[in-house]
Amino acid sequence: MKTSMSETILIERYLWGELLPLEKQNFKARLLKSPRLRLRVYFQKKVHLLVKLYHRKKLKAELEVLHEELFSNPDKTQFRENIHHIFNKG
Amino acid sequence: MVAAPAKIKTDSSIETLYEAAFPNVARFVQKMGGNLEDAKDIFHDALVIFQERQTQPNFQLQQSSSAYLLGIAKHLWIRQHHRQRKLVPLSEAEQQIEIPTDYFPNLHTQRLLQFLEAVGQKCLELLRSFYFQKTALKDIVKTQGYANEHSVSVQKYKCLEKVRHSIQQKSLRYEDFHE
Repeated sequence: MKTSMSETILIERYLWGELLPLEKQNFKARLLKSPRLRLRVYFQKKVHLLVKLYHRKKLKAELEVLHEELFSNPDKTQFRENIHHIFNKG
Repeated sequence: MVAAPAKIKTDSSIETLYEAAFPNVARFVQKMGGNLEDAKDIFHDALVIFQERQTQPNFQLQQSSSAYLLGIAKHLWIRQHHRQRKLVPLSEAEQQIEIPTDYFPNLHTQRLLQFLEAVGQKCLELLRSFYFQKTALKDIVKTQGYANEHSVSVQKYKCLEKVRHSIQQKSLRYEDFHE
């Protein structure tokens, strides 16, 4: 029985396509036999998705800061006026 | 405590791109009947998608960054305003652009993320550094307050397990109620 962490590392390498051909073959054979392992792989993949969504959310928060800065910085008056002009011309 | 959002990485280049590309997107959104807020939202999504595309190994930019961002913005607009589809002509290059299929997650996934942000912010931050910012171990040690590189590495897998376990619990419970 593998320790939990070594299995997590193995799943990680599988998901990132880092297993050697023989390792991959063995891993796939285990996957076929073990519903528990399949579930772990499924949810570890889901973790990747959630971290990606978190990353996007953080990027958008950073862009919000940049936007605020561009719309309040006195050096960016020209940029700001151009944008307001686009929306005010109707 | 949640830190205030840091300035986006590669500061000056993103600022230059912002100033160069936003007016085109704003003009497009205004023409379609949207306001400044709509333009900002769509533009920020377009920038996030563009940044992701750029990190993909086979990505080749066939047009200027500004033109590409406008293309993404058009796709995002069409997605939100389906009835206006015919009013948004797409050039051949723009037709090639695709919005990532996981960009608009379902409600369950959005709730899972909110849940994780509440209970596992530190793990999300650590995993984000590994997967999306390709931060070197020694820098994570410095910025996120770990003892040494080995402990970061161990913590990464502990976090993976912790997050995996909590979403598994949450999801199975959710499925009990919704299936």
